[in-house]
Amino acid sequence: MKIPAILSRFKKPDAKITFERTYYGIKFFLPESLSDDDLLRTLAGIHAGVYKLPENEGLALDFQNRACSGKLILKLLAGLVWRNGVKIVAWLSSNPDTKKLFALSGLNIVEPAQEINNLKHAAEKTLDSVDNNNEVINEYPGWKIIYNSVRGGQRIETEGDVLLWGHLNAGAEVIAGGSVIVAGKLHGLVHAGAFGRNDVFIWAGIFETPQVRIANKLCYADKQSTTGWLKTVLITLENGSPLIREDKFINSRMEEK
Amino acid sequence: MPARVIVVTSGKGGVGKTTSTANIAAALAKFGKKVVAVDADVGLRNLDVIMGLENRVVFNFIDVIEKTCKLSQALVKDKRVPGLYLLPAAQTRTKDAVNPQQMIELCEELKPDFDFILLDCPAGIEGGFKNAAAGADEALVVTTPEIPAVRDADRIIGMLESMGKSPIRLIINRLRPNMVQDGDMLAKDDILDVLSIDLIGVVPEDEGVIRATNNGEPMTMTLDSPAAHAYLNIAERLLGNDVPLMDLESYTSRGFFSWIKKLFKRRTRQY
Ligand SMILES: Nc1ncnc2c1ncn2[C@@H]1O[C@H](COP(=O)(O)OP(=O)(O)OP(=O)(O)O)[C@@H](O)[C@H]1O
Ligand SMILES: [Mg+2]
Repeated sequence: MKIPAILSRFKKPDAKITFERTYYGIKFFLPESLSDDDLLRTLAGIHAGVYKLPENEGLALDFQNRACSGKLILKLLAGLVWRNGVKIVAWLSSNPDTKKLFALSGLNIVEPAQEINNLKHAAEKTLDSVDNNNEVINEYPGWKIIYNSVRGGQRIETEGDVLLWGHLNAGAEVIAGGSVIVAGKLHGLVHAGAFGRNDVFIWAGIFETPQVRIANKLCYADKQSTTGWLKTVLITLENGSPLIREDKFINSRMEEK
Repeated sequence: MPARVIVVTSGKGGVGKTTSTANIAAALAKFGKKVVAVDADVGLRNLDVIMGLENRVVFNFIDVIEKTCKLSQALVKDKRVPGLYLLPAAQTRTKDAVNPQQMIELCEELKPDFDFILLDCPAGIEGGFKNAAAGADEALVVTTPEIPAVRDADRIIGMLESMGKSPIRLIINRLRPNMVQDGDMLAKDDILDVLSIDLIGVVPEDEGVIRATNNGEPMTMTLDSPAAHAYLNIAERLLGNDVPLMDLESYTSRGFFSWIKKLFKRRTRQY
């Protein structure tokens, strides 16, 4: 369903933002022909009421084939998401570079699954095929275990889980589809659940990093206000929000010493 | 035995690669080794200035690579210390004038005639660094006790490791013991904790370095400063001798310097 009435006000001769009502909320189609500035201006000009969605609904942005910059993402986050409290459920793009950038920025790049029932159905199907076909088991990406520190400028990327038996130094990155364990110091950047999973965790021997990404959340940390700074921590998503827990089993033993 | 080829590198600029190369080369020569310091910082040559050999430079290593001259013509012999040579860089060329293969060939050509080849590397992680590192077996990574320098060193160490250089050892330069004591400067152990490689020496901040730079004479030739002492220790460790680290951090600046002076009186007599 299109909503042309609101649109007409922002439309440009050759480019307009169109909306579509979806099962998860609203999807915006952002034409490539709008410049970044025009895009931001148009989005900022949209009536706040449009962004007021029922609690379990959200907004998807479809950038089509636009080559997005990190700057544009930040401006959108600052102007739209953080200021208006708009919940963006998906950042869609058909441009491979943009898609990658979104994924690396911790943004969700697929539309929410259509129906729980369908999902269950799909799960059953996979189980069936596992029984019949051993090869499917190999699709589980498994653990990647690294026995040395990862240094600045180095990057580990995997669809599965990561155990880093060393430090993650400043400027180094681990991007994992699954969970990440850093046995040593966590100084660099970890993105767990980078491709949308949110049943993942990050465990760090010593937590000392300014930013952590988990599923589609980006969390800032600093020594003044973050619990667990310089301690052993577990980071998970709880009801969609990142939660950091001090590992009291280990930390209390360290304090005893 | 063919020469050991050691690249001196850092990632961050201005942390003391050239100073370290010149002083370690002079120190090794002082210990009776035949050493060539190669200025691989093409386009920004200054090893010749620091070594005080600027006025003797005729050809440079690009000339050798391009066969404009013979290797022996480009080598500048230091008349003050027997066994010390410089292979200068080209001032008027850019870093694209060399490729890694040529650098490897150049080192191979130098190897039979020397005990040590020290390569003074340009700052950065691009071509210039990769060229210089290509010919080397071992690496000395120089950092100052500052977070940006340590991070860049970390990055360079990662690259050296993946290039298979070994051993990779660390020089901490410009340490100020009194600032470390006051908690205003990273301590040696903080740096080692991050970089987790072997330390080959700590060089204190020393006015003598600046004086020596301007006089064009590596301090290890004159031996009158704490930094010179540190570089001599590094050279000894490169030769496999077990020399204890100077315990810089337990000395406040005045006590530290007088302590060093006493040490020097003792040492100078040995050589
Ligand atoms: N231990 C020291 N104490 C005092 N000054 C020092 C010390 N080490 C180096 N310096 C000074 O720091 C400056 C930079 O040193 P140097 O040229 O050796 O660095 P570099 O790493 O080779 O720089 P570049 O990246 O530009 O090649 C020089 O002026 C030098 O005199
Ligand atoms: Mg230099």
